[in-house]
Amino acid sequence: MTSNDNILLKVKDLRTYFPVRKGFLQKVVAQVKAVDGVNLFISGGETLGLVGESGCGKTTLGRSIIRLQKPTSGSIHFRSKRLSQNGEEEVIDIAATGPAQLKMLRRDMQIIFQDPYSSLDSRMTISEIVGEPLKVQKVAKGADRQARVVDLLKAVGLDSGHLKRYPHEFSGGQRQRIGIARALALNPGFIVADEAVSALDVSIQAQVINLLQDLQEQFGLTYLFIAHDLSVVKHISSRVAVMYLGKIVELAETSELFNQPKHPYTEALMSAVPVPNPEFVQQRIALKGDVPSPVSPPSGCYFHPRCRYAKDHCSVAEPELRDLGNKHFVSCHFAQELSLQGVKAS
Amino acid sequence: MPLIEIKGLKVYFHTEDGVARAVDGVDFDIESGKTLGVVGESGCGKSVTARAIMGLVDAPGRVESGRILYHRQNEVIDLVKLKPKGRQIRSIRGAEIAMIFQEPMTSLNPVFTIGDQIVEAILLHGDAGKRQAQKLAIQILEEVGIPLPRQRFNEYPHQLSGGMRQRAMIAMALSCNPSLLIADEPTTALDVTIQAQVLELMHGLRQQFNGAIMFITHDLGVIAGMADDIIVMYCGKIVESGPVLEIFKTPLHPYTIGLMRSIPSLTDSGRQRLDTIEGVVPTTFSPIAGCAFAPRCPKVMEICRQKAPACLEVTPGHRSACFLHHATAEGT
Repeated sequence: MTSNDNILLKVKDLRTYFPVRKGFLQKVVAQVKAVDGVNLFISGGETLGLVGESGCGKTTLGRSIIRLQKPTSGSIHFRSKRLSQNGEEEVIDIAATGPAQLKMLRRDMQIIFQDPYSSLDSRMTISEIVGEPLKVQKVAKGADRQARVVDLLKAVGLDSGHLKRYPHEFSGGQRQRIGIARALALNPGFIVADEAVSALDVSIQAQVINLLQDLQEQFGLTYLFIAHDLSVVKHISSRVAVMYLGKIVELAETSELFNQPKHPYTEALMSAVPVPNPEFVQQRIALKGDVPSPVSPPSGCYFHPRCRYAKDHCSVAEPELRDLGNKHFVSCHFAQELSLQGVKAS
Repeated sequence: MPLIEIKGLKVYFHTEDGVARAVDGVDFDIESGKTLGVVGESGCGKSVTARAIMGLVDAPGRVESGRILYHRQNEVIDLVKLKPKGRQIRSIRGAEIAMIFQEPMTSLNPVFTIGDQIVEAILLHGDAGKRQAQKLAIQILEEVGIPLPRQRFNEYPHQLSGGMRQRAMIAMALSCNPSLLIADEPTTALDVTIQAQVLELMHGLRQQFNGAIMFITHDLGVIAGMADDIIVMYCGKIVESGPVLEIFKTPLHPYTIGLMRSIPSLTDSGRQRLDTIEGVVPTTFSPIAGCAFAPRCPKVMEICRQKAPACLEVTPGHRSACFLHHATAEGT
């Protein structure tokens, strides 16, 4: 990793497997390959969108990247100022780091969860919830902490009158704002937003999306934005990665990915999104069948049993994620030969 | 003649915290052979309206007033007046009015096979024999696109994927050839590619099926491709209704306009800010004087806070409950 291209985080060959145990002795009989060899980088200040269907491993990838889940193998190089005394940036491998260092690193990377109902402790007041990271990290105490909490609430559009209230007194959108305030408490540079707006109603979702964009500008945040809703991801991301069965199948600049997809899965995914226009004649590419189990993925290219362009070669050889130029990464043997349909502007 | 006429329907929930006015005076018709889309955000009363038609409003909920007139061959039945567990509603529910729910996991019985559950519905409502019912069930499973229907017939819900379960639910709902099919967020719990499959299926059904469909969703994209007419609900009331093209091309009510602008679309170009509807949905616990949308409305006027606007016809077939359009509506 060179320092001049502003890469904040670089994931190399990351794998996170979950053992499947069976029987009296709880023998490991199989592995769920939730994340199966992921390579990607995230530049400082950008929003990398991560899309895929349920079970594709996008949440596990997000959790592995900030070490809420220990990866099985691979490396996650993260640039942080927190560890060195002289304020210089250092590159640390999050995948291999120990607990003490990890605690320091938590100040620099935070997460916003999907469900605004279960991710807040119902017995804590808002002031306790938002102030907890400051307490755990011993950053601020007493009146200082209180003042910081008030500032944070203001930043996410809540007022200080809410301090002594409990989560049940808030609506879903407001709770999500509380979750965002908590994630911001330690002034992190990197935030994983895991389906952060998926549980919200459309009118509230728009408010929270705008808030996330404002905060990014204000604090220079870098986001890994995980979502299944392609329209939202397209709106908020500068680059987008598409995941299928634990692997990244395509990664490119947002407009390039949506206008000129190079992977058949991306094409099918985009064609399936309902368009809010009754005159739009949708040509959905109906994928055959369901997503295969990550316990026993298909041979060769994982997508080949559902791919309408699949050839014999696809069931034998596994495609590499390669750069087709312009940092457009695709893992398909025939990426250059296929001419796929992107999103048509209305 | 409409299949179902709903007049002044009010469904209130009498909870410990007070009375929630989930559906607060709703009038609309469901026409045979058409698909009516009902859109709105959570808590707007769209599902409760559907449950009221099915006679499935559970305590502490109660239909306070209003009529749900169901036009059968040559009689008119007020579904509100039927005993909720009586013989007549049971002969209608499931047979003549069927429903598909959002969660295929929880709406199928886990201890019976898919086949048994469909056969049960057919036997209960028809006069087919067991063998005939089985044959029919397998045939319907095939029609809804379940591969290997004979094998699936003997499988339990947990052996099916989410999309297949929803297909099985649709098969069950269609098994008695209902005159009204209510689909309550049938694709919300599904992934986009699976959602696309189920929507394709429902599209096909729309053509074959000669009954009416009431399609409830919060997703404007889904409804755009499915419905002939649309009702937009907010806080237990209908704020706008009309043909699908008109609603999308010339939305009238400020809430509908706000809703349309706040969704990011794949076909948008450029990374602009989303328009939002400020504020939050008010609770339905306290009666709202005036228009329920007034506190969030960008075009709010003095009168909006004092009087509730009636839902009037602005252009033929297109109604809006907004004072902005009352002058036009009265002129026509």
